[in-house]
Amino acid sequence: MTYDDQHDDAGADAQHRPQPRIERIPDYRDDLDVSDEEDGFYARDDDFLIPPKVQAAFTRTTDRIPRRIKRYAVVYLAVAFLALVSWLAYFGPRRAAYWAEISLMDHTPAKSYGSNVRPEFNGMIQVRDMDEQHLPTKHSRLVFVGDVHGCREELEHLLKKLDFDRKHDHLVLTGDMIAKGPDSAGVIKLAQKINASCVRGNWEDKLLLSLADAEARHILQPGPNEDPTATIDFLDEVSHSHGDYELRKLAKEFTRKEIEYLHQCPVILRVGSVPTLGNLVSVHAGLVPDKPLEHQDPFHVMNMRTIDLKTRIPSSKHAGTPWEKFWNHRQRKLKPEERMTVVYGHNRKKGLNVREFTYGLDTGCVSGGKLTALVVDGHGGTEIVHVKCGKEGGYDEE
Amino acid sequence: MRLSTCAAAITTATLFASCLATPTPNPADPIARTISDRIGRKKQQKGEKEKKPSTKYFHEPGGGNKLGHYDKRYYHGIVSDEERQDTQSHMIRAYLNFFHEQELDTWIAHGTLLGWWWNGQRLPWDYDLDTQVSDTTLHHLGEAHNQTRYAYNSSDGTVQREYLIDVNPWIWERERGDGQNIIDARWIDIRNGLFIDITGLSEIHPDTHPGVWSCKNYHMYKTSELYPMRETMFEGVAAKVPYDYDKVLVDEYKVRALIETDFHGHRWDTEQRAWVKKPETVEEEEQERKKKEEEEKKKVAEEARVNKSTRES
Repeated sequence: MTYDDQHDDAGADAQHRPQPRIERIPDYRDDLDVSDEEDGFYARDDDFLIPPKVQAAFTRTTDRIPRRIKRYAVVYLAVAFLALVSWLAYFGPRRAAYWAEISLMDHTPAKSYGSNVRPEFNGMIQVRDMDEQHLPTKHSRLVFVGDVHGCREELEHLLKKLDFDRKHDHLVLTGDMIAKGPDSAGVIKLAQKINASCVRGNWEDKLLLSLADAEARHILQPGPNEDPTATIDFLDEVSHSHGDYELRKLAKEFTRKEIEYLHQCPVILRVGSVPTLGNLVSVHAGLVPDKPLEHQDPFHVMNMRTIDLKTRIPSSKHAGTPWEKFWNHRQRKLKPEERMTVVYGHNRKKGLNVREFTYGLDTGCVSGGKLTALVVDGHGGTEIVHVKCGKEGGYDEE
Repeated sequence: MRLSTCAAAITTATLFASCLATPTPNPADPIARTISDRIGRKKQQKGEKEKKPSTKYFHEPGGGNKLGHYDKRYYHGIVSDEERQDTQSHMIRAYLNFFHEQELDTWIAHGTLLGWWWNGQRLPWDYDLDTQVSDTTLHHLGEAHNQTRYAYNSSDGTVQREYLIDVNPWIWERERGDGQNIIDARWIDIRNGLFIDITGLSEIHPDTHPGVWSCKNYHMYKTSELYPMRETMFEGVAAKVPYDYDKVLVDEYKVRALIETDFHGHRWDTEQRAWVKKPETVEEEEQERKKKEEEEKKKVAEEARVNKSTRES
């Protein structure tokens, strides 16, 4: 307080003294502060670049948006950006590819595969009709089983699980009944015993071709009086083994009677008409749509997995348009009475593959998967029944 | 300029100069002289090689599509289309019959296989026919049947012909070699020199590439594509084709060969199930024939004139 005291002491002669400096500070200094009580505090900064009219219009619209929403504007923008990027990078191209595929499936190219005369092969039945008496009725069922591959025990187990009655029910094996597994001959014996129908798979094809070749070379051991129950044997072991050592080993498991059975398996089995399912056909691998069964190339019927839509050439490769996708698409375009449902196997990678007009049944029994049956009853009802396959890891990994 | 900047500038300049300084050829330089010498020597060697006697076994009267498909020894001029077709269809039947009788293995290949795929017949524009055999069959053919003749009677008994089996002595060489002997054997019609090319397949690298079969022209096949073979019919007789015939064809001719219905002046007729000559082609050929006739007429007329004038003088 000494300072004030000094002032007070000097008060006596104040009149002669100059004005204190503090007084010289201008009064309007308060104007420099902006008070939040004034309207101007909330006003928008004057933007001389945008005409006032536009500014006003802008304010009018933005004022209508609730503040709660305005607050998340950044989040919305980010979401919109993400959506745009994902459309451009992923969904857009996928949609385009989808429509391109549909249009390719709808329009047959001017020049496409299959105008040739179907190759004719000796000892191969292209199409055969199944006996009508085997079609399902009120008391009987039709059972399709895919790719048994010599798993006799599993097949027996599956039939037991189904309560298969050989007097009424009928079994259809969709190819690749043999090879890889432990008891190929046993499977064929069983099939013969219960009078099962079959189709020719790629393994039956290879085995029969190899045997026909051996026969032509006279290197098949003739059985005494061509005994049908004698097993196959070869005269010489080493000569001409173009990688068919495995096939010969397989061939030796069979009797002539069993080989006869394999011979009569057609490439395409026309099963017949079943209520709700329509015309049923069974093949081992697949069919090319819009082509009569008699004209289907037998190699592809036993081996295809995909079809190139631009040329319509089937392929056994996995990459490409699955034949069953094409098949289903084309069936929907046909009149109901012309549609055809296919029961097949061969594609273990896809496993059980049930669609409107196709039933893929290869569930990889021989490699430790399941053995699958499609059961069709007299009303056209279907049921899928599995059994687990015996050996963990499968038989074909040995 | 500061010293450090100066130093940096000089270094950059010298580096840049060394970058630009590429060696220029100098004929006086001793190393360059040897290089040019070497090139000269190489040229000389090439000349010598050309002078060397050719290793080629099969000879044709000429190159190209027209002359390259006749054997020189039996060639008496280019045959008409009709005669070629007739020759070929009997020739392949005779060939397949012979191999069947002798229990030898053979199958159809290349353009012939493509013809089979379309309708079980030859492609009408094909200049030659192709078959393949395994190397063991090829050697057997060389040992037991080389230079033998096969007398053929057509199934209806109207046609009798004779064919020569000629096996290339270079069949021991299973690689391409100098490329002069990539055809291993021929089945020759001795009336006009047309033939079937027979090539042998062998596993040329059984150690590094087991199961890969190759001919001397580097057509590769996997065992699983070829065997087991399928028995079928070709030109009305039993024949064999590879197991995976489609893949073999697509590998060699691409998918186009299986879908194209307009090729080499021919059109695939779905009703006749055959390749037919397009009307344009027929017309073209007709015109060409007329042109030739006219030319010949002119020649005859001119000769007559010349004769006349010489006689008059």
